[in-house]
Amino acid sequence: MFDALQLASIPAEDEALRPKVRALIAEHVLQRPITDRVRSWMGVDAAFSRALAEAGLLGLTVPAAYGGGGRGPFARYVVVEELLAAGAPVGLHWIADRQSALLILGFGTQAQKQLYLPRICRGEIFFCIGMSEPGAGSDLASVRSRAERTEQGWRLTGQKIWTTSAHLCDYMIALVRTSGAPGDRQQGLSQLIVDLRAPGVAIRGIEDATGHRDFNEVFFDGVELPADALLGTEGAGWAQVNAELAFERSGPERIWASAVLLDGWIAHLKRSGAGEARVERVGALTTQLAALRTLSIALTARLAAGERPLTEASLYKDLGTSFEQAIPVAIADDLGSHPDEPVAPELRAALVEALALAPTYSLRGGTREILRGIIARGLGLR
Amino acid sequence: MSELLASFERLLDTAGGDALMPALDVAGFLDALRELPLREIEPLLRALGRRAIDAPVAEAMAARAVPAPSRALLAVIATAEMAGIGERLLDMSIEHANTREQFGRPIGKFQAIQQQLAVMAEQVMMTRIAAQTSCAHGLEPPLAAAAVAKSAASSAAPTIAGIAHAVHGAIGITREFPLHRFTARLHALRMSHGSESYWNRLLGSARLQADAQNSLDFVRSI
Ligand SMILES: Cc1cc2nc3c(=O)[nH]c(=O)nc-3n(C[C@H](O)[C@H](O)[C@H](O)COP(=O)(O)OP(=O)(O)OC[C@H]3O[C@@H](n4cnc5c(N)ncnc54)[C@H](O)[C@@H]3O)c2cc1C
Repeated sequence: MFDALQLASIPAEDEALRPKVRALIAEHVLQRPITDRVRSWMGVDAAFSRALAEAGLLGLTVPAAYGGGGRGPFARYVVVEELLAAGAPVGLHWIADRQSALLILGFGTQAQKQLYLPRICRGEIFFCIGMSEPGAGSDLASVRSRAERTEQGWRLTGQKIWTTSAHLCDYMIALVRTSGAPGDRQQGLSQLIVDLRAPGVAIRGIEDATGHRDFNEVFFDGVELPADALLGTEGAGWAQVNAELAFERSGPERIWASAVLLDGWIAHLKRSGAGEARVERVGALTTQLAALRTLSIALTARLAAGERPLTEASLYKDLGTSFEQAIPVAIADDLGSHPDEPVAPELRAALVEALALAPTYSLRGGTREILRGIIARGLGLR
Repeated sequence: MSELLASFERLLDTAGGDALMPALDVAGFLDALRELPLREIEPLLRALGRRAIDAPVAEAMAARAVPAPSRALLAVIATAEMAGIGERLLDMSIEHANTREQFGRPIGKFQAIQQQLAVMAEQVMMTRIAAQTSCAHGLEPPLAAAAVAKSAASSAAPTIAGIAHAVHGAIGITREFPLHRFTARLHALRMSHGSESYWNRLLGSARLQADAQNSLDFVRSI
């Protein structure tokens, strides 16, 4: 089954983007404390998102006609790996750049594309993901939020939860029921573009274990939306949301979440000295990182060829997030095994932060168990 | 599948035991690495793995191509064989999961078995990409490239062998059933030409000595 996964390399014209990204990183990112940089995905910095846009680094895969870069997946690959490896604050534009823009491009009307895409590429509007609800986590088809047709468009009632950055975003692409009953499962679902400033939308932050408020509950109390809030085809929400999840799962970004911590620890070892056990541990993590990166490049080549390698993307996401989770665990053991060695307080704080964040890597975008179920189907077991 | 691979596999499947090495020699396969880049021979090495061939075919090929094959080259070649073994073990395990019935259904319908096979597939995929990447370096692979490949393959090996046995149950450890040949060969190759810890130490000290700006820079330089 792995014959389609061939060795690939990043095209030279995409490699050529690195200096541009690095210049922005040097200007905006490297001076930030490492405790901040380990939160890359959750990092919020509107000025940075806009600087990326001005440099032409947002919406790279969106056609030029809609204000994008008109380039292939490897252009975004290079930019994303540079940003994540440095721990840049990408949270604000992340969702729009990775999935909402592609969803609108794939399913939107001409008017919707013209309305949203150029502003996404300019870093002016930000999107969030409206999938999960209190009763619909892994079992996404059981969503209950409901939109009724009205004379002007739609009236939306219900609730979303765990919506990352909803309080900072302009729009949510929400999966809601537009006909039938929850028992109808995949039938009768649609995707709506919800203006989060519309009357009747209430957003309440949820504090996480580290005291941050990145995700939210979002309540819809009879929110009136125009007819063109509908994205794609009424009733085709399930197929569309799966296309969206495919964008979310197959990205190159599944290996870098703990890279800033890894590099902080390596800097510590260079100062404090490393015996054989430490050298071996550095090697174990670095060989894994290098092997996973070649895998992600091979996968991106498939995307660039216009394929949707669902099984391989799930295999990769599970491997990558396991690796991201292993890093803080390994570093905690290492630092703990040298109790008399001084450790910079910010490295220790970054470790605590990373240990708290790590469980989320294999939850968001579909849990580990759900991904393994997808893999099992790909293997012909279900 | 290439013509070369097809004729190689035909030969492997007909000439067994002591007859194998001479037959490969006569057919010119032992000189294959002298004539073709390692990248193109990599599928042949995996074909050896898929049959758990014990004879030192790959080593003989390397010895004909370079006077004194480096440990790095031998490690890379072993990685490719390990990828072949992994592919075959995965196929055997899926096949078994879909046919062996307990509690009135194929055991592959149980989520616990499915999740284990998913993990196994991940490790096989890692081994496979490690083999392809390192074989692209030819007959003089840089130490770091060999380290990444052999470490990845050797770390994956116990998981792959362990799950294969878990899924097969008792039949898997019988002499008659071929599974043990593959898992034994996989364990042997894991140790040959440096296990994961050997290569991890080597790459770890390279990483600690490098003045790469960050890990991304370092892995890009491999
Ligand atoms: C940091 C973070 C940010 C998030 N951001 C967003 C966002 O922006 N927008 C959004 O819509 N959602 C978001 N989510 C929600 C995320 O998608 C869900 O957490 C995820 O889908 C799992 O749902 P759940 O948390 O309800 O867990 P559950 O579905 O209740 O799962 C709990 C456990 O049960 C297991 N389980 C469930 N069903 C099965 C099954 N059939 N077989 C085997 N095991 C099963 C799961 O694998 C898991 O181990 C975010 C989550 C996190 C942690």
